[in-house]
Amino acid sequence: MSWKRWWLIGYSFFKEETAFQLSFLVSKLREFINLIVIFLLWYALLKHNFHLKNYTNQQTLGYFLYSFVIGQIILSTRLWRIGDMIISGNISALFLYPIKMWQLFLSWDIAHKVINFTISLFYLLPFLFFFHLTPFQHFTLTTYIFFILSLILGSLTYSFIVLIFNSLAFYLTEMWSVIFLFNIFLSFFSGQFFPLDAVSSLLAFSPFAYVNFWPSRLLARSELPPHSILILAVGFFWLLIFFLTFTALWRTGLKKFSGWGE
Amino acid sequence: MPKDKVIEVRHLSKSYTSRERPSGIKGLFKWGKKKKKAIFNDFNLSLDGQQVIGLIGPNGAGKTTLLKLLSGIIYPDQGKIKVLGYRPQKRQKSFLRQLGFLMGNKSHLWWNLPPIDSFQMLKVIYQIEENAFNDTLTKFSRFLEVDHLLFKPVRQLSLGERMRCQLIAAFLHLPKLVFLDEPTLALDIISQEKIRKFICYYQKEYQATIIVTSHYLKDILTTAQEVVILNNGQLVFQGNKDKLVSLTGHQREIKVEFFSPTKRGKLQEYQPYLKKLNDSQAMFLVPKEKIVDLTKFLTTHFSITDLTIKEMEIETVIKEFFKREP
Ligand SMILES: Nc1ncnc2c1ncn2[C@@H]1O[C@H](COP(=O)(O)OP(=O)(O)OP(=O)(O)O)[C@@H](O)[C@H]1O
Ligand SMILES: [Mg+2]
Repeated sequence: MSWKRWWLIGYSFFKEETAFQLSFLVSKLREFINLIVIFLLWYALLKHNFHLKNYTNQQTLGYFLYSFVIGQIILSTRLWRIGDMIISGNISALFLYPIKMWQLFLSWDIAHKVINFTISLFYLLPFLFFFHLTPFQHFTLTTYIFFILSLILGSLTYSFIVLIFNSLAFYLTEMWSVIFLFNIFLSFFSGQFFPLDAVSSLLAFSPFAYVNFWPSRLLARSELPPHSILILAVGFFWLLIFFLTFTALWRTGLKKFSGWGE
Repeated sequence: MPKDKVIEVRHLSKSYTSRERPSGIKGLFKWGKKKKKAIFNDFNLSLDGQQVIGLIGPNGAGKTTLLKLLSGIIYPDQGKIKVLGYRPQKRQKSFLRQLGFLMGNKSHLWWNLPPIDSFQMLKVIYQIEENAFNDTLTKFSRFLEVDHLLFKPVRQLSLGERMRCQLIAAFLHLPKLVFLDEPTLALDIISQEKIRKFICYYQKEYQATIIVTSHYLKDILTTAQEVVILNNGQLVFQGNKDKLVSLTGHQREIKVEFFSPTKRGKLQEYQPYLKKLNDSQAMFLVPKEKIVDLTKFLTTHFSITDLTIKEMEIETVIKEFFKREP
């Protein structure tokens, strides 16, 4: 598929999402305010002699800022709609398109991520400036490679987690309560509330750590973690498990799917 | 090598399983009983030719289910389906490119955006060339008289306007085979007429096969050349439209309401045409040439409060077929 086709598909879905431009802007503003609140909270804590294990104050502040921006890449996804589309049967329309399902999903998601990330750069810059944060400072080629791999790994892992939950819609109709609880669980164990290795290094090897913690840590501390190869290997292992679970659920789901109930 | 039929269905079986669950909080804790409902059982069908084919049957006959199976949206439990020589459930690109599908009661267009945006997206997905796209869009939107609505959000369109835009969406990639599931549902006569005309126009212009479902015989008889009647997942009739007309005769339904309850015996020579009688209401099925005689007879011998003459309804046709072939 040509890059132009990818982009056009992704862009046209994005256009639909932002049909209500005002509410899109407001949701972005809300994110920005969230970021300020979290940041000021930690700033105050650090001023009062609270310190995180393994992290200098500057690194702690950086961690939360980067974790937010990484979230704009990894955690921003359109795939949450699939469940509703399955339940309502509207996904049938997509089945009729002469395009592979994964290509369609991927082009939605890439467009979505690119746009969200670009917007988040606008909030990022003032923070970097006021708090003298310098990402990519001592980066070498290996750190860059690790960073990019961990971003891809995180995005794919999170996408498959989301897809697994959404394909449950083939089997259940009441899934949103479970998903809500899972999202709280995930923000905790992916390191959006605190750097995981400041609490326990075991947490850092859970599949959820890849969704936010590893790339954020790398930016905050500007150094490769010890055993970086092992970390990536474990990550790809988890990814494989999620991938297989998803394909099994999806394939059987399609056979059970009854489309639009007329 | 023999040429593939457009549609070939052999020994098809399909049933839906659903769970009956109490609504609300209770439903969360109860699985409910599994209920299996067979829609098709050893169903066979073979359709061919570039023509408009009418698929008729009463509610729940399985028309929509059949179209979903033929387009590969759902899987059969058993049996073989071949459409344009492909197995639809494989969802091959070359197959899907030749297929168009419109579900009358579902919107295929983005609700919050003008139709043109949905069309643009279809253009990318179906890889339609810029010039061909512009030509087709202009032609179709003029024909269906929606060219002034292309830039208005879909949610602000009327039902009929929306349906006509959806029709464009289903035809934009110039499919060879098109399924239209009740395209005229809930529309006024004028919109229905425009849509019927468009269907005939497209079929002739692009040599396509179009399958249209409906509840109304009349709807089908004006557009289709071939007719398939489905009832309870069974094929009741398949054949040329003229054959259907000659089999059922040029018959009309006459419904009468008498002033007071009436007995069969009083209807004299018209008894054989009587299909239903309860107390003061009666329904006759008569050949066209008898209509005048019967109404004369009824109005002179009885006092009547109401009388309607209608084309045969699909339910009546099906009953007639079952009587003929026991
Ligand atoms: N998703 C579904 N789950 C369970 N049962 C279904 C589902 N869709 C349809 N059915 C049942 O299958 C039967 C056939 O449905 P179908 O929609 O094919 O009928 P139809 O001929 O299109 O009827 P109509 O003219 O009302 O559109 C109906 O009895 C319906 O209740
Ligand atoms: Mg139907």
